[in-house]
Amino acid sequence: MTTDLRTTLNLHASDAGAPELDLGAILTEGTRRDRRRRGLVVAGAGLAALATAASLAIVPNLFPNEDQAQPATSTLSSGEFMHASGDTIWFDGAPVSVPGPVASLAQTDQVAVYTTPDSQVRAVSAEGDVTNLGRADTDAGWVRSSASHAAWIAPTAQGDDLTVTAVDTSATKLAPVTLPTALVGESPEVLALDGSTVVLRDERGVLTWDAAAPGQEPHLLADAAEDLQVVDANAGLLLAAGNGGTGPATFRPLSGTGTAERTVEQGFQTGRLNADNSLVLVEGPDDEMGVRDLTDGRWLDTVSLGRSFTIGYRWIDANTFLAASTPTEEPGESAWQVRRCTVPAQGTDLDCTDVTPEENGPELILPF
Amino acid sequence: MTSRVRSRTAQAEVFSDFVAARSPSLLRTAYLLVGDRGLAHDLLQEALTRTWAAWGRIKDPQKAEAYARRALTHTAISWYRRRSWNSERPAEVLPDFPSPGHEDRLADGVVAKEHLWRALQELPPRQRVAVVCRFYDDLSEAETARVMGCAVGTVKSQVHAGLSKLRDALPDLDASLPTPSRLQEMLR
Repeated sequence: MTTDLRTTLNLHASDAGAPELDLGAILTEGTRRDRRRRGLVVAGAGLAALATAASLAIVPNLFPNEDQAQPATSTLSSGEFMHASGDTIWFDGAPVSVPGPVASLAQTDQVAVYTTPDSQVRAVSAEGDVTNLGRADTDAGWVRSSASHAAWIAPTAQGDDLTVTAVDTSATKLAPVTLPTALVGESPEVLALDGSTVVLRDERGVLTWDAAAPGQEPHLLADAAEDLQVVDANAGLLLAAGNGGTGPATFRPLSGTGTAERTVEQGFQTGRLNADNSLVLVEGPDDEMGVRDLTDGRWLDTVSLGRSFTIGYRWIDANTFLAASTPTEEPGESAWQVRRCTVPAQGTDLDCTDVTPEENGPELILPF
Repeated sequence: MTSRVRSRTAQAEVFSDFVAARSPSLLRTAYLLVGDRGLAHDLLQEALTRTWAAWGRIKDPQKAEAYARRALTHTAISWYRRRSWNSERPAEVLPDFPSPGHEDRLADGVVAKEHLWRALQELPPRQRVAVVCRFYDDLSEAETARVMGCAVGTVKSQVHAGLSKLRDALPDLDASLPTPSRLQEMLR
């Protein structure tokens, strides 16, 4: 009799028939989602690839290094809201005209770092000072930023360089440093940036390199065989997903020394840690978007905000983040919606207010 | 052609092989989760789309299967949660046309199992997912927890609650259905 339930399930499973799948549609739509997940912004339905990418990894830097000692001199602080459209970047609502249309945007505490459609990388301050920083290989990722630095893969005749610049004064005093091609492996990608320390993946595996000590070679954190899935890095720790995002995630020292400090129960593949590594804005393996409390496993679901694709993209303090709902083809979802949400001390209901900028539309570019 | 493009093309070929090999099994699970052939196909299409979107990070085909099953279950739960199940897709009013031999099976005395199947369709989605994972896919509690993205304790409680509901819904079959704890014991 123990087989009653199993027999019933097996009996009806055979009624499922043969798969009738549209593999072409799966590949097309899956590729589109992958690009969107990576930060590509599709400018309007039906437009082919007016897309570009910008970093989601904008984490207030509490890593105890020299970056933290620098007082903010700009009007822009880490808690403020930045967006772009066309050739204008808004710093907390104040427009700044920039040369060339903005294709992607990354935000630090001091300046905006943006790319143009022809992959030029530039920085601009709230005062309008612009610095050309070079070119990015946007096929190899996009500009990522911490509170104090920006990093990107730069194409050269010999291969790819890794370029990192501190942005702790103003856009006119930037001095990018480069990890040369000889020290960068094939197919490099910047995975995360913690202060001045870059987490990089190439064919060797996952490596770290501190741009504040440019004479040092990259440190191999996990070889390719380990297939380390990096979620984020913050405050000297790297959060790695377990088993492709389906298993527990683990904090390990970014320095590569020491053992895992903490394992958290729920798995996820990508995320953005808050300042004290207690909360993470999660993009789960099944496209679920929300906040995971790493101290108790509490889950706060951004789906409840009402849009079919909502992603938290930036912490503005330890408990408050910005969430963007992307335009979709669903009724009433043709424009962006941006909200500032606070994680409650208890419970699972996010407290959110609408901060969608007036300059809304499918061409809106946010720093993620 | 760049190495990146070549790599993506090669990945698509591996993914296509994965779909060809595993989609029949995944479709059967999908059908048990939703109880409707059309929805099961939609569910599988969506789950495989999510799997391909994440393919660059999955790499190991064994992980791909786990990932696809997780996508199946979460998508099914999500459909229910967002109520699009009824608002966007036609509700399943009539049962699917049975496969050949269906009447014979009924005649052979499997009416009880048909009632059990219908009761299964009435279970809340997470309980149904837990029951299908445990008693059709033969996943352990830990494996089911990974697929569902929850703790093992949650799997235990969901299975227990699901089996209790099945028993409550089928009082006439009480004698043929073990208690939840007994059933779990016997299936270990």
